[in-house]
Amino acid sequence: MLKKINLSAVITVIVLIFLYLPIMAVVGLSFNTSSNSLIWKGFGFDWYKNIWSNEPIMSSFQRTIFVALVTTFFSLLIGTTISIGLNKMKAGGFLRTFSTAPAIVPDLVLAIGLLTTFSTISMSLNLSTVIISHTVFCTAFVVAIVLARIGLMDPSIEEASTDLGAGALKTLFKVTIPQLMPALIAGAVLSFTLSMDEFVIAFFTNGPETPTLPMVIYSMIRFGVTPEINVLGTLLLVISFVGVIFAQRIGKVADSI
Amino acid sequence: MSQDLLKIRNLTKKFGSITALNNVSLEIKNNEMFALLGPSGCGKTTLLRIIAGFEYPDSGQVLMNDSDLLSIPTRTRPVNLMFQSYALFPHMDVFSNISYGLTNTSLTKEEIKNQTNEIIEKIGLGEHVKKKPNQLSGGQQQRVALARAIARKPKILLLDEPLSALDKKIRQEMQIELKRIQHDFGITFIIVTHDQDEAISLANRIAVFDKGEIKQISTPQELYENPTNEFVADFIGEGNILKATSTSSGFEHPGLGTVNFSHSIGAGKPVTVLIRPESINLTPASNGAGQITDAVFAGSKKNITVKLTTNEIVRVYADKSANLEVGSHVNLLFNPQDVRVF
Ligand SMILES: Nc1ncnc2c1ncn2[C@@H]1O[C@H](COP(=O)(O)OP(=O)(O)OP(=O)(O)O)[C@@H](O)[C@H]1O
Ligand SMILES: [Mg+2]
Repeated sequence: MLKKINLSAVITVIVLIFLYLPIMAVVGLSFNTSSNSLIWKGFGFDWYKNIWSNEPIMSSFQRTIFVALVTTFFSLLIGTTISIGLNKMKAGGFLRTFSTAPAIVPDLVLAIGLLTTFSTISMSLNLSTVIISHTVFCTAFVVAIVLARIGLMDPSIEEASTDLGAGALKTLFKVTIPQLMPALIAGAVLSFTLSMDEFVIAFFTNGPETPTLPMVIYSMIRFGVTPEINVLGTLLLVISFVGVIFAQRIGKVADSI
Repeated sequence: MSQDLLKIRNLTKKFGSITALNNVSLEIKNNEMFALLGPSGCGKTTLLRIIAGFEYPDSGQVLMNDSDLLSIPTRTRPVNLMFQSYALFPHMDVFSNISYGLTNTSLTKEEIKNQTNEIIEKIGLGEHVKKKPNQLSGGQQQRVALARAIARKPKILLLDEPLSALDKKIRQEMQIELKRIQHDFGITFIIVTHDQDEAISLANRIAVFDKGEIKQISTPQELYENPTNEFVADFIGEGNILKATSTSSGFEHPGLGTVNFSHSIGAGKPVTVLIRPESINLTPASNGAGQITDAVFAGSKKNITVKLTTNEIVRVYADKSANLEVGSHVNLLFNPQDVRVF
């Protein structure tokens, strides 16, 4: 008897293998003790130990975390302010689309535009220009997320706070922001992870003295995939994963309150 | 100082081309349970929002104890609003929701705690203080919203359709509760509703609204017995509304004949006649003014539908034992005193 093969299931499996096999290869090979990453020698944490003493990698790693943290802070601040403003103004589709557009503009276009802007106002390129650039597109993601949440909020809740004698600031911090918490956490995690592994924009808007981790990886990869690269790839993966899981947990807790 | 707590004078409010309130004037007395009654979209919520401070009228005055209320900022007005959606703070427990208004005063922590507990006690929320709004039933949420709005001891409590989200049985319980709480706290209530039964059973006085205008302000009984216009006659209670022509000593209706009745309308004018279903007696008569088209047993009475020769439909409440069969011809008898003509 011939078993019927479900074509869509087969395609799904093939696609999943194609998606995850390279990632699993990176993770697996990061534990290879060989100095040639393509030849399996044995399992060990040798390269994880090695990487701590690799000064260029470690300092670029610190820079990347610093840029991601500062970017997250400003994106959240600006993005939330814009969202609350758009909501109060009952702004129409045009302004909303305009505020979230940097999220979908091709990286390359954004990078060229920012570089042009910085050189026009003769700003020297360093980490602060990277932070500004990352904040531009991360803010757009925060606006998209927070605006969706604000739209679900009952506007009477803020009015109730005013009616009960609270000033604008108290209403903002005690009533509005707590209700936006799940969106703010999601926005923060997204900003952090987007900034952390962003390459194109950083490549255009960074100065030569302060490369970020993706830039260092890029320069290393020109000499072939070294074991360090697999280790760094795995570390980035873990940080992103932890971030997302953390956000989901907190999001659930925040949603249930 | 007059005994009117709140005076509303010639209030008009437009939203673009929509006139939500048109030259509305009314007075509300101290300690009154006052109802704003009218169909959906007639401007009831708009009036409450103006009193609370969330909208500003295009023209007109609102005076509390003879001084201007509209110049007082929303957050310090001695008025609180219970929102139609309750608008409870979803991230705060019942206690924090209720005490929120008190935290915006100069009271000490201890005083806030005591006053909040006192209100929780009076409104019967003792077992729920630690719960979040989404862990409460509709009726409990309604009580929290009420407790929160009353906590600052406003001079006037505004309630926007407070019972409309509850099912019928809880609604009736809460009507009694609302009256008790209003009495206990000694606060003037202005309550918005589109449910005439609710307004009648709750309020001392009712303002009937239609399309942004006040049609009549009176006690529930007066509105029922002496409506001054067709809208009120139709909106309050069950009524038969017939088109007739006035005569010098009453009116003439093509189906009912001439009815003698003293009025000041003048002869020969088109008039609207209101006769309540309970004011009519039916007597079988083969050449009667109408024919019974329907007779429904409804507990203590029979609901009879009579079709007049003019094809107008008249509803009558008859004794449940009355021998009135569908298809039989009847005469309609009523005391002219029970008839209202506009
Ligand atoms: N902010 C606003 N902008 C535009 N139009 C409005 C606004 N608020 C109310 N309206 C309009 O004003 C009219 C009166 O509205 P209002 O909410 O006062 O009615 P209501 O009597 O409370 O009705 P319901 O019983 O449905 O709650 C409606 O036609 C409504 O569409
Ligand atoms: Mg309303």
